[in-house]
Amino acid sequence: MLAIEVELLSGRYAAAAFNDRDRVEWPPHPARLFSALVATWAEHEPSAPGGVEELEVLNRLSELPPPELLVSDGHLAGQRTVTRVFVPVNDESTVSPPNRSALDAAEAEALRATDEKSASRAAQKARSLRKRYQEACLKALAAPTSVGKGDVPLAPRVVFPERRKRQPRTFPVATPEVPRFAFVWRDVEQTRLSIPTLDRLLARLVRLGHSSSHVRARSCDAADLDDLQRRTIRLVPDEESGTIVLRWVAPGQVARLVEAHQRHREVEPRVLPARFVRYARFGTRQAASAIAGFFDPDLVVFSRIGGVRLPITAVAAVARQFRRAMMSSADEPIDPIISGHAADGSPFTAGHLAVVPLSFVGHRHADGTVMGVALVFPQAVSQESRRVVLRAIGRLERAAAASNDPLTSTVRLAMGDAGVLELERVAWGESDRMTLRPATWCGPSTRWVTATPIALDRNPGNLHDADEHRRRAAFEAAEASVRESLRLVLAPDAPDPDEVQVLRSAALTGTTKPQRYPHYPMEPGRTQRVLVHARVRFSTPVRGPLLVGAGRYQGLGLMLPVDGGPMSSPEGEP
Amino acid sequence: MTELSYASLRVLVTTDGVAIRVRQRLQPAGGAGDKVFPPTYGTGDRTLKYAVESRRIEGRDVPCVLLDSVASQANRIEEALLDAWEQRVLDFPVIGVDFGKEEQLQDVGVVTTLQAPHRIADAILRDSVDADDQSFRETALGKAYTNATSRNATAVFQLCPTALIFGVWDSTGAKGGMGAKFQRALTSEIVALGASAGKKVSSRIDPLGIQANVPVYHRAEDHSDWTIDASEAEVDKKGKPLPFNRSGGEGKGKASSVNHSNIAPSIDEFAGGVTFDYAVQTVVLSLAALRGLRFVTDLDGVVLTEPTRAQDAARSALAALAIAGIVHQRARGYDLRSRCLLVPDGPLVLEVVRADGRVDEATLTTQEANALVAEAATDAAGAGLAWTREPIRLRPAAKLADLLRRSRELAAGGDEDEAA
Repeated sequence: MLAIEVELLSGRYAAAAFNDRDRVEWPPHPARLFSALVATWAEHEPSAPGGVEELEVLNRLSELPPPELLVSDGHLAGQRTVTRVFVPVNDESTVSPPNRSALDAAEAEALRATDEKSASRAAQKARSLRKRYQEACLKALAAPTSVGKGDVPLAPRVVFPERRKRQPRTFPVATPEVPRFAFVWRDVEQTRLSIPTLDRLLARLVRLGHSSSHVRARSCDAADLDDLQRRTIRLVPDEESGTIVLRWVAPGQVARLVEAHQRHREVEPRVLPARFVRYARFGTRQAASAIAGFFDPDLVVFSRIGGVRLPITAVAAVARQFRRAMMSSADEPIDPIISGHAADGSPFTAGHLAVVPLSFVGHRHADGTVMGVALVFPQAVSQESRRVVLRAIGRLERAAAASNDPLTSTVRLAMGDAGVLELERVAWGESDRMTLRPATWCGPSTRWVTATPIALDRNPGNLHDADEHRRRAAFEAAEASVRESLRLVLAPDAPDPDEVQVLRSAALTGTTKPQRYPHYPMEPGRTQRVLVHARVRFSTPVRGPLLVGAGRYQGLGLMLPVDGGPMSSPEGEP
Repeated sequence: MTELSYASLRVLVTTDGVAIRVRQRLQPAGGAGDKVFPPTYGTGDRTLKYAVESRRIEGRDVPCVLLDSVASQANRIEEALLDAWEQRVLDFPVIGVDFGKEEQLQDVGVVTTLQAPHRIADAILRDSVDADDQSFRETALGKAYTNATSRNATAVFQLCPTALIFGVWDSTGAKGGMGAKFQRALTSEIVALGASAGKKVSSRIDPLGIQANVPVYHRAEDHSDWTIDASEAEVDKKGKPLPFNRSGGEGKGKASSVNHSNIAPSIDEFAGGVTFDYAVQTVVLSLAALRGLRFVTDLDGVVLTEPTRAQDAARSALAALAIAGIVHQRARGYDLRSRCLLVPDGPLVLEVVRADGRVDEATLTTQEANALVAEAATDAAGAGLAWTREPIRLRPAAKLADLLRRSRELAAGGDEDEAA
């Protein structure tokens, strides 16, 4: 086993998330340690024999798989309110030094000259340029003969520090419960790289992140990690269901960083090359420990590739149009899996295909736009029913191809006055859009928040009642209704959620309050359902997708897992 | 607990000492539980204006508030070093820009590298000249500084060693963004633990009993002056008297716009101070950072005869100076801002952290810290890297002085908002 232990000497870790300067990066990304080590190597005689040995170690390190982390839980990492601090500038001067590049060039030429004649000519030129430069300097330093309006206020700003103009800078900081963490490669033999050389390099590591995050780093073995293992959590790479995204490196990273350095020279703002790896808390990846839901996490996803941009309130309408399109291209008689109705017209209670439009929510810049559509099957669906659905989709795609370019298989949904929504199936691997990746909606997670509101099976009363008692009773009834709806979509032996909070307004960025949604169901003559948002917390992780309430087959009641990861939700108001 | 001697410090700096750390508990001068006022930040409307965080300590979530930031602490330690330097209890290189001989500007005094926000790279030094009227950066010493790097930091060590302790980036010098960058070796921060926000009140009773609704106008002869006599008032386009108003001031046309009359009491809950269980000042001096500095040539560019000895001595001298800064800052006291005076709750303990995580403790009085610096400086001098108290004397360039004078004239005339 190979392990690197890092101690935060002042207890603080000051590093901004690579994609959001206002957020602290916690847990520390392994790629950041690697970059810091490369910088440490480069600053200290990289071409000397010792430096060459260190380069070898770095290259070997970059070939290792992503490490595990032993680190304080993110929720307990004491993240400081990110404050904007104003730092005095240094680029205002009353004296503008004259340009000396011509003089420098002439002096360099004089030194380079090979014969006496050109040497004396170059020296002559340098002398006259120097004379002119010195005169220009004196002029720049002397009291001005004419003064521009902007020049005068400059002087007190230069002289008095408290008058200096200031630039805002943000300093996000985390103070973890345990001011130590470790990167661990459990299955790597220590002999893969030279430990003494690695230790030499680690001993020179001064900081990780901002210059005020001083650290102590060294390699260690299993015995040293005992204390850390007891007091921190273990994060392991988990491509399938991991929700925490950290950066590691790929072989050849040293060369990449060196090349990038030539370009940015530590002056330009920069995001360094990295490989994104999904991590999960050890133990949560085991499917057995996560509670299964009613719906299968293997989604069929369609991505919006063009046409109208629809807001999140349009999800039920989009779902309806998509289902209609499928029914029009499905085999007759239409299988209940698609229509939701049995042969005699009664609702099909064994569960059918849910058509779930996926919207951009939960992220700082989320705007709720419908980014695509997911087809979600009940877990218990038979292979034959799946085939029925896939055949219908295939026919839909072929129909589209026939009328347009035969190579594309765009599904075009007519959305009335709004226009046409163009969708294409994500057939190979996963979409690169977070919103369209199954893992984003499946967790597993202990905490879930509604992206689209839940349509309650029963009317709970008036949630906006002016009378406090009636209002509270309505909330309690709504909460009970949500709990019942959850029981319908979880395994029969699943424990009840620890906490269910019903909200009248939105709880995630990009979502919107239930009142903004059109009536559900939209068909006239049907009883309108009350829509509410909700936050739910379970004691054990639940695997999604979690579709809840009366509108769950039509994209309403879609919940987002929010444990850890980059899409954790800000607080909403009840 | 042992005294930190120069010999032991040198061993730490040259071998396996990673850092020297201080974790000092502090309480308000008014006693535990008294309210203090942290620094405020622009966090938005109707939210607490302090930098708060929640820390997990022994299994509990403890609310905390920042009492003094890293940058602010650095400034205070520099101020403490300046005091000690001016009193001559510490001798190390400080460069100052002396306004003492400039007409009308003598009161500005000397602005030193310990006060300039960007230390030796600061704009004020760029706008200064030596005794021969040569701009600082054009002098031999100035050029030596411009060309200094962490691989050959001699010039910074001999001109402004505090820049190597607190960090400096010559981003606006001749080399632009490629100018020398030295990371800080010392960080300090003060945080209050177990903090609870309070409320403060403000009000004013006018001792003259002037009523709020007395109308006040601009005077016709002098816009910046006021009058209550409508016949003396400046008039607007319609011929009505113009209500007095200072830009950015409140109470247009009322007595409060000229700082008279009462101000109704108000309660401020967003910047109303905090009480807390205890505060902690965490100081870290990274010896590893000092070991990243190398010294190859002397100030004239001549290769040092004993580079290893010079390098060990220079790094130790910087460590000694940094420790002296910590000790002097503690002696000076923790008067952080109005209504924020703290006192240490225990003696000074220097934690010596080694590469394997082992921590030893040591202590130091102010006199011992001063002696440490003196001994270190002697050692460095013996190796060819001597410290001169004032390596160069600078004055403001005529242009800077002239513009400052003009700025003051304008302010006195009331045309400028900024007074110098």
